Amino acid sequence: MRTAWSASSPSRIGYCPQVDGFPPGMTGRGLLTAFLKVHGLDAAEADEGAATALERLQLGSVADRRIATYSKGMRQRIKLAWAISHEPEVLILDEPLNGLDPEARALAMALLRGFADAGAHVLISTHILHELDDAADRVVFLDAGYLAAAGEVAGIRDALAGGQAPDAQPRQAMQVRVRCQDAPKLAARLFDQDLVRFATLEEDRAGLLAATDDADAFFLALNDLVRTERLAIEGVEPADESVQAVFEAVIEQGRGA
Amino acid sequence: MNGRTAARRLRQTGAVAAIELRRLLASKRSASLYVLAALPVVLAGLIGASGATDSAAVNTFHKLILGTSVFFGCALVFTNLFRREILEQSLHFFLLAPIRREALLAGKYLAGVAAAAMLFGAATAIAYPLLWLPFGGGAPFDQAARLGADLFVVVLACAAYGALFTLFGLLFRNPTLPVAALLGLEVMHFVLPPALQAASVVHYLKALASVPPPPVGSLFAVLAPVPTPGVAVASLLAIMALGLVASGWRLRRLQLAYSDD
Repeated sequence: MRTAWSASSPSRIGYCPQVDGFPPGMTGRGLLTAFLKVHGLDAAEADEGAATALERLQLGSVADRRIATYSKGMRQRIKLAWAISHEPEVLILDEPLNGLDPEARALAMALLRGFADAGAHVLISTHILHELDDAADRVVFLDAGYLAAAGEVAGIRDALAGGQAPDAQPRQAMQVRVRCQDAPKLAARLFDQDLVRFATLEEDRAGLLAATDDADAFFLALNDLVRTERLAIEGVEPADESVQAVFEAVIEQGRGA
Repeated sequence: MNGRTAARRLRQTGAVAAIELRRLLASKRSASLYVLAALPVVLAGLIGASGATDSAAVNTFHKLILGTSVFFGCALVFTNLFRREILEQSLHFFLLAPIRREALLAGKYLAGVAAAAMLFGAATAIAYPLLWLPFGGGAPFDQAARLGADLFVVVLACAAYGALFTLFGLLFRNPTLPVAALLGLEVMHFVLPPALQAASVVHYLKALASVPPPPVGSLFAVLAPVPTPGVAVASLLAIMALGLVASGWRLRRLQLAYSDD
């Protein structure tokens, strides 16, 4: 009888753990080749699979160095190479971008996006939420071990703004970032009209982050202020579209409920 | 299981054994094993140089090689087959591969037996001539037969102790206490009732050695019947099988939680 989890199941799963442990004394190529053989591949297949994975993570030049001499970023990349080396259908990655420089992050995210586009399932666990802004199709927010919200980022944000928060959470304010040369004056006027719950000036005092309970009224008032106060607005953007912002909103609402 | 599956499992077991053998023999931590293997060679050289007798050769084999190097060497190798990997946080590389846990155990155990038998067998093969050279040691054919018999005992000792220590490494976070308990049983087995002596590994190893150790001159010594070679070999294989079956049972239920270890 075949069970849902059989001995062959791991061949369909690639896993990148957060822990940094490796069998001692191994080179990057040796690690991948040896464990591809443990997967059941013969020597030629294992060599080829290892070379391909190393190339995809741009580790070819250090492949024959011992992993103990690798930098943090290289160790992270060899873990990713191991996770993808057998072309899995499901990738489970625990803090996969830890220690990677921006270039390597972009490389890793492009690689993972490629896997997802090819039909694989990519599950990323991370505390650095902005890493997922352009990558996550769906998110699951956990707070103290409990499910706080799940779904598409835009869907969760809309549900929060519309009072139909996931798990029937109450209504949440929208946050807007406004770039304006006279940001303190703009903040004062918005407070005068009782349209913001809070506003934070940015460090250069040429922008502010405002939270409002009524987005429509806020944007109408902003138009009026531009006209009447002759404020030079350089840009307006929702500040709660990022995964981080949505997560904070979900958590804030959950704790306030 | 068809031929392809069998070949795949064999290949996987071989791959695990190759990784393990390299870790056991060619890593920094192997140094203690080499020291344990070199110990009887150095002492045999010293004993030989100071005028060895045949009883010195017999004692060297039973006390130094079997009682010290093989016992502690196997404890070091086999209790760490899985425990060391849990501490180094690298066991997931094996557990996440599509390999049966029994095949994983077989690969690691065989590598352990190969490494231990190679090191301590080599130590025996080098130590004997060093002891024999001063007093001749009899005809060359006799020497070779004696060495061959004792090398066979070393291999069986590695296999039997190995299975027990593998089990200890899987059952206990700190296997020092069960290893010490087994050491106590092995060292003091001669004062135990015959039925309990039969539970010790050394009881069977003694029966297979080319020359049995001299009887212990103790008031409390209990004479137990010496098993025939066939019974001794079968008993050692049974101990090995028991240890491996129990290890396989434990390994199938093993769940990794590095933070707990």
